Amino acid sequence: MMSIIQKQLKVKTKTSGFSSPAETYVSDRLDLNELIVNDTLTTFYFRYRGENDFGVSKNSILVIDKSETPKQNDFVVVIDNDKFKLVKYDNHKNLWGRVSWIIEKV
Amino acid sequence: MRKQIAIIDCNNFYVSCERAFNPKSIGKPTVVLSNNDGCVIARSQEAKDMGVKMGEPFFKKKEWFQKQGFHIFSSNYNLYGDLSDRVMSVIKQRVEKTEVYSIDECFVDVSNIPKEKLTKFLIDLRSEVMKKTGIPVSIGVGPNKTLSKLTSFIAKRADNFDGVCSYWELNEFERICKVIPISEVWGIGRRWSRKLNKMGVQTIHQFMTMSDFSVRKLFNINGLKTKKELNGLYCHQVDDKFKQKKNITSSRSFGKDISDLEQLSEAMYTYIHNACRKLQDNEQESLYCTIFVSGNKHKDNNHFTKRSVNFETQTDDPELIWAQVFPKLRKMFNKNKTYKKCGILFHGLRPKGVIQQKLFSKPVQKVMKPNSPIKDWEMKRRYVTKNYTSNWSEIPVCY
Repeated sequence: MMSIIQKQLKVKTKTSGFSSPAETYVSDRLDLNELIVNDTLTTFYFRYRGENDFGVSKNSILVIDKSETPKQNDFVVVIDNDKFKLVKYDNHKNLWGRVSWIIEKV
Repeated sequence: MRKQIAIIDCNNFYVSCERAFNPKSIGKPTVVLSNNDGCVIARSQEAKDMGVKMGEPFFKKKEWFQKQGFHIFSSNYNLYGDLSDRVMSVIKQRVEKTEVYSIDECFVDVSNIPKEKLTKFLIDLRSEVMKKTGIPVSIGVGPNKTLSKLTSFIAKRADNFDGVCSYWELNEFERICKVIPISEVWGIGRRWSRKLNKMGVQTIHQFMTMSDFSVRKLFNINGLKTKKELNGLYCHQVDDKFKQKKNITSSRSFGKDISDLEQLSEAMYTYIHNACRKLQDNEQESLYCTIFVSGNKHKDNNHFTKRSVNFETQTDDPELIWAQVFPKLRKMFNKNKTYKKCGILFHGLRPKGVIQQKLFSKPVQKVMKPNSPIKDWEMKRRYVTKNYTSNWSEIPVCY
């Protein structure tokens, strides 16, 4: 993630004439990673292919942060009958990880 | 202050990686195969219990494996490399001094943890790695590397082992040392154990009671260090400095024997790219390389040819390297021979950017990228799983 941010910082356009009045105000451009990925080490992604359970659309991307501990009713991925399943957490024993974001293309 | 050195190793690492994304295989006998699906290189506990040996040839017993309901995986180093990184990074966040020893092992110096809190600290570290990465690890801790390794070895064979074991809490260490063969000790290779066996030294205990003088004379300083460490002294430091490699290599056996230059070129071109990636990761450039091609020694076709190539300037650019390698490869190629393996070794590694230009270097003309319609050279990976963590189109599916 750092590398993406650093890359963006480098592309500040230089002007040859007058220096930009906004120069001292330039801040980092927004980067979705900063919002969604708390820690790349513990983040994994799944593709949801279920049937719109809980209003989650098919083909959404589930972002899972394994470092998070789920609370009752949080979205989690569990192992169910040898497959990964999206459910609302209810003290499942076969927890794989807590879903921290759901990304949907519209 | 006593030294506290721990070895953290991932349990049946490749199997654990596959199981993290293939829940079907959990609890069932599982094996991971070497490149080209040749032999077994990782086994689940169930597979070990069924008598599968490390390095066992797979193709000879393929039907047996299938009949027994084994879950079989070709090795997927993309996945293992990523999960290894994650495990090691989680450890590094908690421990200051770490030495990644292999893809699935790491030494840590935890001397700064008060001794009454040590076991608790390691149990917590183990759960944290498990939670954050899904990979189970075992931890052995002792006064030095040799004893932490040995403790871990002993612990894994005990029934009540719960993942963390301390040398200071081992019962009957001396009695155990009279039973365990010397070959199980870290740092004593196969050659040294043969030598020791010939002299009548079979067990760890026997080795520990040899005189320093004779150990030093028979082996080298490292042999003596091993002996001293078995007796509780501290000799091998946890080395957290990144070691710059002296040379870098990429080579592999082909899926099938091949006999055309087009395919041989494509294989070599691919390995050059692999090796260049390693160069770039290390921020190094190479001055010259050795390329080699060889036949299939198992099929009585044992031939080997190598050439060195001096680069016009030090480089890490695969296209420039390919342009200089290809003419040599074409000369080495003999259309009456069949080939099973090729590879490249980079020598003369220099830090990137510190250029020692030759006085008269010619500009390098680029050569076309090889593109063979037949891919017999590609590795046989019949049971390979997806790149679950490195390719958007291959992420795991959930219902």
